[in-house]
Amino acid sequence: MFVLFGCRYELKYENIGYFEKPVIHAFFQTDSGIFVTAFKNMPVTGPAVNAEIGNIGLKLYDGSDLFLGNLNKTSSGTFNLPAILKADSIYTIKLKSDLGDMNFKCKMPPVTNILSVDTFTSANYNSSSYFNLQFRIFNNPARISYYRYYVLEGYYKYIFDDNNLITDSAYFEQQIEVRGNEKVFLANPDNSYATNEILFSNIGLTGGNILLKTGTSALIRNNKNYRVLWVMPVLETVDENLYKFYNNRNAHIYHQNDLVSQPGTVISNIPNGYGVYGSYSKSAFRIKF
Amino acid sequence: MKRLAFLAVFLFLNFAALGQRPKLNNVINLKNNAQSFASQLKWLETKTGFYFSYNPEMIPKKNVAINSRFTSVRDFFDEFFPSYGLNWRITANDIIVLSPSDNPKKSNFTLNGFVMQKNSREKLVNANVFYLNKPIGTNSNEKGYFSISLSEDTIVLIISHVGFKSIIDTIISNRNYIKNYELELNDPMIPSTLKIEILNYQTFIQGQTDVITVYDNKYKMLPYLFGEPDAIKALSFYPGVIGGSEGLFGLNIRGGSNDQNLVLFDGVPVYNSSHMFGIFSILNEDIVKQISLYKGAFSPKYSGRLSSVIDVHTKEGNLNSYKSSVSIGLITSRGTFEGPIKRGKSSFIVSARRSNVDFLAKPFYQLFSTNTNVQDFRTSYYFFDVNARINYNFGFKSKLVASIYTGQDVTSITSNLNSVNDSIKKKEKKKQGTKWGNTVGSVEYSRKILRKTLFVSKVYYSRYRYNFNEFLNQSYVYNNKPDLNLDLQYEFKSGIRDLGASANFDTRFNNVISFNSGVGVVQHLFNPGIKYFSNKINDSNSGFTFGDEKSLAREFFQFLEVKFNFEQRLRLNVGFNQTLFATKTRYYYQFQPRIYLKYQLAKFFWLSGGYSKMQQFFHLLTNPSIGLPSDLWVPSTDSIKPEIAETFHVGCAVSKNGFLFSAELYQKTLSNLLEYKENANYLVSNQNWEKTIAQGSGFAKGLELFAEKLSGNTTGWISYTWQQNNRQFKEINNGKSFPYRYDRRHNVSVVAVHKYNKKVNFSAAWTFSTGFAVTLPTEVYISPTPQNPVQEIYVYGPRNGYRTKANHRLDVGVNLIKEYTWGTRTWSLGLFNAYNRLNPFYLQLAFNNKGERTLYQVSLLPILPNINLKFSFK
Repeated sequence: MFVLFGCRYELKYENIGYFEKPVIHAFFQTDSGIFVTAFKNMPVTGPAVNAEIGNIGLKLYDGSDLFLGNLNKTSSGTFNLPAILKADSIYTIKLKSDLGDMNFKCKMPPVTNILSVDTFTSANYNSSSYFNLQFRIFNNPARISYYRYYVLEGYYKYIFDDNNLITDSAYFEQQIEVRGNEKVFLANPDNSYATNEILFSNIGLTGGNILLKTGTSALIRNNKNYRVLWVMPVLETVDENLYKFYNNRNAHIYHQNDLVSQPGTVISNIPNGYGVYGSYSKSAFRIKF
Repeated sequence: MKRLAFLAVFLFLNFAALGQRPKLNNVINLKNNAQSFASQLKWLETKTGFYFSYNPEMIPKKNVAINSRFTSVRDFFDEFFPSYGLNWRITANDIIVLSPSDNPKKSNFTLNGFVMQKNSREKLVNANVFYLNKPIGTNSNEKGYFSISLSEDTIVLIISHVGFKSIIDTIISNRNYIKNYELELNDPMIPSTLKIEILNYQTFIQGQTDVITVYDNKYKMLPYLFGEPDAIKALSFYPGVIGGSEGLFGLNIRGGSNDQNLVLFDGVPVYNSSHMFGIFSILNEDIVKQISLYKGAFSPKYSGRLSSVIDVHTKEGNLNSYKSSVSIGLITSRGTFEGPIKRGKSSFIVSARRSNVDFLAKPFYQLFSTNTNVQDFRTSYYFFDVNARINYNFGFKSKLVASIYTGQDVTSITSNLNSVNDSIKKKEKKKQGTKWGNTVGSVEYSRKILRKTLFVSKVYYSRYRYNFNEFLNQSYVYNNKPDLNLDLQYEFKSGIRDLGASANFDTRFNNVISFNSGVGVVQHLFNPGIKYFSNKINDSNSGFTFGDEKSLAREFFQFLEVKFNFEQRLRLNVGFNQTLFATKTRYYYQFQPRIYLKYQLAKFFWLSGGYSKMQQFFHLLTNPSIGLPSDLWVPSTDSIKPEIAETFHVGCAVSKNGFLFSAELYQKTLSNLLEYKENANYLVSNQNWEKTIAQGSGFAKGLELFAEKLSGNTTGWISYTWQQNNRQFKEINNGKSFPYRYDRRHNVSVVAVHKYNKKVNFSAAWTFSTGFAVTLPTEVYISPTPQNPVQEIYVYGPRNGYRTKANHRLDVGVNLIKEYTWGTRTWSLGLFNAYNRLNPFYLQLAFNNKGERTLYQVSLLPILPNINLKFSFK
């Protein structure tokens, strides 16, 4: 009934309250490198504006303020530096731009290895598959750790012609839906707002080797059109900044897309700006097909 | 439970007492012309079967007449003998012994009885009984009962009620009287000076600028959306009452929110008062007799909500003859049947209503559905409600009423998808269903005790339930063999259930002082939301339940109200309500004082003022924009304090030449209000609801102006409300104060009803409101996620910092009435939003043709015609 009666028209809307601000996402990965995106925010309505930040430069320093190198701008506008960042060490990025100078200082978390995917029950069907994934990690209760868990899938997609012959194929990687009912997962209410990742902490977990049960609720396609090559559970050990940001952003995106919800503002540790800087380490366990 | 047991024992004892004295409780009709008192006693012996023992010297020497209908022998003796200065008692062998009463005082004589509608004997609430040319009077209570002291030898009384012909009665003040008055429906086409004067007077006596009373013969004439007369919607045309988006989704009264309105259905609280997402109220027009909205000086008998009391009185059923009606409209159809069970003694009324939307929409679904073997999509929506009530009069003094209401809204969406991909066949079935509704039942016993007191006891049950269910089945066939079969199910249940009992005493001591007191207990059972999820893959089954557990709370209350009325010049109502709310681990006690003062400055010109403190122990967690039925009722807990409101108001009014003019100022402070935190939604969250909410405060103030024309062929009113309404929460909007969504600064209603003749009447209503306050994003930025490398994130401006465009619209209607030998036929035609104003329902951001993000206003209801046909059978 509402659909039949509903109609809409354009309103004039002044973007009062809009000021240019930096939007930075800076990720420090243990044993790997640095990845940074740096843009400006935009007014919510009206024509698109140039979101590039003018005269930007990023430099990496270690904990004793020793210069380690400049971050290089890529063709996609991002900045990176393939440095080896050691666990428990401190690194700083110094950013200079038209929108001001700022420093991002991070302590690198150690890698929490997925020791084993102890059991994974694969309910195999000819058309599809459904997985219950159980992975084991070592937990040190003396150290508060925050985790981000997700499952990647790598697959080929085939394209056929009218004669049913393969004409083309492409390789894809994507996150697939994942869920879990472990107490540590449920302790984080914001997990309700994301379907592709689980964020949890080790608070409440016993020490030693622990088993965490998860499952993919999405169907993994494995048929004539799709060929799944592997499935890979990934565990990121993230610092508190990233943990809070991911949770908050997931909740925000959920409510932003919901007509009847009241979203807030995504938290940020970027001074006078938006986005996040933080450090993480990564461990993965590939299951081949 | 102890109190419940007490009430049950009390009721049992009453009935048991009736059984021990069958003769005294026989109901009889007594009518005998004037003759000597001794002769009357002999006549009474033949009629009642009792013998009288008395001293002939003490009985009155004058002739007396007897006229009493449907009265028990005991009631008759109680009234008749004391009015002639005699006491009576009964001996073991059923002899009535008469003796002189100690000291009969003329000034103690009273007249009491009931005011009712002629023929149907339906009790009339708020009928006026007052001295002609004297500022002394009273009005009937919600049971139609009145009591007035007779202070002069000969008194001329006027008995009147809005919409009824007044009765003038002369009373010789030489004894106590029990008298019932039956008023006939009015013909407003014949105004007269006396009528205007009576109107002025009754407006003055009843006049309370913070109370709005709407009678069934008044609100039914107004134009409505889809032509469905709605008593609660009618209230939105009055000052201080702010409607939601496009006039839908509830009433926001004096700065309050929709859940802060206590809706009483014959004295029983109802938790969800609307159908069809707020478009219609649950009140079936065939069953509603009168509705009163209290928005300021609350009587101490009311408690439990902060902002208003909407007291709905339903019809009792015709005591004398059978009546029925059938109505067919675009959106709803309904039928009503009423009549006597035992003529003059007991009656019933049954009414049922159902929406027609699903029937009417079916052809459209078929027209628009692709309806092939590939896809099949169906939606359905309907609502229904049923009201039933039985009344049984035990003579003049006591009465038993049992009533029940049940109603439900039901939506369902089903879809079937069949797809073939090479050697794989996939079948998908989706079903989503939502049900919500109330069930309310009560049994009430009222009895006139002592001479001036009406005792009312009641037990009741009220339940609101919400149930959402989603089911998905996917089955695959691979190379013509059954393969994977997947079932997913999600279920969400919430609700609230009350069991309550109360006892009230309404004593009209004399024309100056009256008391109203009572006690009660309510057991609340809250179900704040149980979520169940299960999945089944072929034969492997798993499921889990999460959410909050059901919780019990008990509420004990007591109230006392003393009303002083000094010759209508000064009226003072003072009292209190004290409530104890006990949860599993904590008690909350609230003392709520109430005071109301009305002072007559000049003839029919009065000043008034009042103060009320109200508390609310349970709260509705609702999403901030539109009120969907998934709203959750939750109780106060250890960490969630009860909401409290304090309201002050002052006003003045004048009633002159059939017009009423009034003005009122109010100020309300609200504390411990509840709101979802930003980025929180309990419906999808797995955490305890208490962690998803914030508590804060509110402040509202306003000015209300009202002018009404009460008599003549054309009646109507103009109302204007100016208001300011803010909220403040530590966790929201950075702790800064922000406007409430329904902070609508200016609100105007102009309503007119014109009776062209007995067969035709017209109505029109124009409303205007400042736009409502919404929160909009002001900036956007990209935050890459693994799923979306260009994920846009909105940055929102201040909470409710943007105003939608103003709402205004004109509704018009006409009723064409034709009388037949068998009854009445009424055609109702109307236009909602006659000049097709596109009012904002909600705002959204979307991209326009140029690829620029733009703000859009979505409107819901353009010009809409309506037609309704009603047959009422005699």
